[in-house]
Amino acid sequence: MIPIDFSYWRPTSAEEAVALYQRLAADRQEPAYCAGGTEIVTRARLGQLAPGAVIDLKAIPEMCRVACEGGRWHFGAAVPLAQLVDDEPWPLLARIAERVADHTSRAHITLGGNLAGAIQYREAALPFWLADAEITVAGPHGRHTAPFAQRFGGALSLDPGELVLDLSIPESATRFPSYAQKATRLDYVDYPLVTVAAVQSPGGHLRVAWSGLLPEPFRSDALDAALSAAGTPAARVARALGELPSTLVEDLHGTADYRRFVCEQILSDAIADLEGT
Amino acid sequence: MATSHTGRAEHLITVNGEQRRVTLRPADTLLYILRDELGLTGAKPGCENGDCGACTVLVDGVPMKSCLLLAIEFATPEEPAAGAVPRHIETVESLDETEVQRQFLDHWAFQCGYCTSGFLMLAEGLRRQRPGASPGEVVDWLRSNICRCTSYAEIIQAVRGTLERERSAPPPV
Repeated sequence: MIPIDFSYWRPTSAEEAVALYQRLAADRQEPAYCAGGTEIVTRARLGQLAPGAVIDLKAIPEMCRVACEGGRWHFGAAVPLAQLVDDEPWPLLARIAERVADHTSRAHITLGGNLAGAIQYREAALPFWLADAEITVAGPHGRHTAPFAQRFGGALSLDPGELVLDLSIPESATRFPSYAQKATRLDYVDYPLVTVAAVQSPGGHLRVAWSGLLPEPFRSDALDAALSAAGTPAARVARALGELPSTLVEDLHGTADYRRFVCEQILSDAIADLEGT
Repeated sequence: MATSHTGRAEHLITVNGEQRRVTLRPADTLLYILRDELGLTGAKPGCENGDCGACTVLVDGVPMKSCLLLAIEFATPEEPAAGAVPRHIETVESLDETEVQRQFLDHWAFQCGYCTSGFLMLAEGLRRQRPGASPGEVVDWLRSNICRCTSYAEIIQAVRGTLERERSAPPPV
């Protein structure tokens, strides 16, 4: 049971949602956007969050669509992860999404919620980092589309009142050879020890994005360059590991040394999978 | 045009094929309303954190965890707009001598039984959505729910039995 009260709003356009947010914030009602609602419901129950107003985004049609238009795939921010897995418009995103939480919970958790939530793993971001993605945000100053990496550096950079409308990638990026792996320590359904998404771009260059290694997801041009340079797979993996930050997460899921060991195995598997070695 | 709800008020929601009138706050979870307002105690409170699946119900045929849903999302106006279809909630009380129930009995797929209604609704959703589910898909779906008595082997057998019966059933005339 949620021990606080809040008002509930269900706008039908992004502009209406933003205007509502501004009005409710001006009234000091501490509004919160909500799509799947998993974090709001669970954290409000525990007293970790106390919004005065919840603005449900699921009645905004453009936030609930997955479509290919003008040579780009668009993924609405209120689309549940289960839909991305079942319809599989982008195999790499489907492989990453199918390891977030459990099957039933993925019918609740949305793409935007996974990116914008407080739970730091944000694994759905990894494929978008590797695919020249763009992100469209609506806010008090209108709509803005920007490269995904400009808005996401491990966490989303959003001003108060801004909301993510959709993410898009070039259609061709859905066909890049790709690799996904999630290693967990305690159970199959769990937060990641390490989650990796990797692609081989048309020039043969390997790009990798990570979750679970640092307090937030990360990627590194230097690591990708080391992984893609000439040499034996073992030498390339060794050089890439040298580009990992020196301080990896130490927690219940594993020590930093264990995470480094798992990374070595995963990178070796990724090279073998993507290059057929 | 945005709809809005503030404070405790009466609403209509559709549960097990019936429109039911309930008094709820926007912050009430569906699990709480099903149990405490409608007396449908088959959906069980377990973790209330989306982890255990004991509260699983079907929403428009899709298994969902009622502890993670706000009941207000299912409220329909007294006079709905033309063509509007209310979202339909099904709880374990809607099952009546179904194949999935028979299979759980035949395979002794429970011990204390607390998690059983959640597993039954998950399995019923799987039967409807993926009657041809592979063994791997069955396991993937079942990972959504937890049985602390660890009847997992029997539960998997019961679900596989349900799907086999579904696949071997003659097509509707």
